[in-house]
Amino acid sequence: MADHSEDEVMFSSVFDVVEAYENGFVGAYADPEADAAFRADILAAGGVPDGADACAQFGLAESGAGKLSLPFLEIYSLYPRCLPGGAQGRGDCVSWSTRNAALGTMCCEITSGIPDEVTGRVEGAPDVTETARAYGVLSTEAIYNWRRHGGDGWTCSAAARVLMKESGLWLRKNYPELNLDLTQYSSRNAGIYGAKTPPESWLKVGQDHLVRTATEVRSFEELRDLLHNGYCASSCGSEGFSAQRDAQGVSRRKGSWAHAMAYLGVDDREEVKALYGGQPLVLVQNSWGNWNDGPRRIYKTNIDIPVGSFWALWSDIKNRHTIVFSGVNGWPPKQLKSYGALGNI
Amino acid sequence: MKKFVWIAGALLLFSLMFPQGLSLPKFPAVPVVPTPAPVVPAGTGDAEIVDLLKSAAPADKARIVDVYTGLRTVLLRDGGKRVTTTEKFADLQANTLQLAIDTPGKYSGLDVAIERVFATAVGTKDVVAVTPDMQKSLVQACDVIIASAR
Repeated sequence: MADHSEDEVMFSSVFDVVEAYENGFVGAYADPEADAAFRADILAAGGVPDGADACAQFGLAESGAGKLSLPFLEIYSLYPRCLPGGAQGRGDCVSWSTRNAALGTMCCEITSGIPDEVTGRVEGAPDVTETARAYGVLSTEAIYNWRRHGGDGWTCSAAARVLMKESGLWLRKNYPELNLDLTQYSSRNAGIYGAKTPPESWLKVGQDHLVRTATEVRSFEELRDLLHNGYCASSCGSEGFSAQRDAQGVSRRKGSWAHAMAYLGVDDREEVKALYGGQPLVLVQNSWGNWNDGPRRIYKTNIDIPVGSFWALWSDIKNRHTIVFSGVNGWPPKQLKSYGALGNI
Repeated sequence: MKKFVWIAGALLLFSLMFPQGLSLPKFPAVPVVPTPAPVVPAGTGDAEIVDLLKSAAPADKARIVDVYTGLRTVLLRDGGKRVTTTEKFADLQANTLQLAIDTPGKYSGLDVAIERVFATAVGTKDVVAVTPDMQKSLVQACDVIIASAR
């Protein structure tokens, strides 16, 4: 494991962030031990660590073949324009990527209207303030405080373990019982704890909305089918990308970033693949705010991708460590306003 | 002789009306989907709905019976495949009533009484899955309304 002791780095602007990553700042790194522990935890939770097995087991294989799948639209249907949700102010990209992926899965679960597999109830969207929505609905800081070292940078698998076991999703709001206001992103709040883990009071809040399970993805087909079914992904890797999108919103590889980014869509349409030598596209949501330029309109649609995102060719991201999140426990049940007769007879 | 003139006249008229002969649409000998007549058990009505409809026009009562007989049939035939949650049932009932009922509110309080029947049957305002047991409860609620409108 890399040494990340006490080397906290705060960024004052998006230019600082981009420059730091392009010059070798390590926001995400590999840790085979953390990966192994993560897989063991998935098994212990009754999950399926391997994406291909999960697709086969739950009948998802080939469900997204040839299709444009945009789970980010489900996020927007509940929380309009909540992405990119601000910009990271320190090396906490892993918590941003994890938050964005979990937010996608959470919103898809809610909008699907599918009853919770444990309670049988259909969950509703939790209310947040306008400020909280603009900062991405869910807190990144609550995740990052569990990184277990005093510096910056983390692994995708360790963050996913935290979401499953210790500290699930925290809404952006004030937590007076913790003397902690998470309504707006704060890079300082992301580093209250580090080498020392958060106290029991944090653990108690974090247990309310744990992510049920997760799975590792290796092939495009697994990622495509899981995204098509509303399971969004967090990825860690060393690939850098151009800040300029092409006419179709695609950014090509440029440089190297030790960075984490979420996947919130996939385009497997034949006409799109034909434009890129047969390569399908994956929608990457970055955590640097409005850092890039170029068209955002999705090919042959009237839909724009979120600010700060870009399409990547699968061949450009195929080596990244990718984790897909399943459902989230514990949001309040959706309530019926009427059984359908009220005012209609 | 006069009888033959009539028959000849009728044949002439037929040939003028259908110079190509009769071309009847061809249907399968048997229906593709068997549609047995719905069997609605005679259940116990809801006292409040009975009271609200005691002076209702027979056509209005018949319409209510038809609507809820249709809903129970849909629920039974669907078997939880499309009407997967109580929210989807609520949408189904609302859409059906909006199409079927010309003058909502004609019998003041009827909508609230029907809501109460479903609330009692379902047991929660939370949106929940239409499991086989929940499907049974929704069908029973339809039966109560049907019996009340008869």
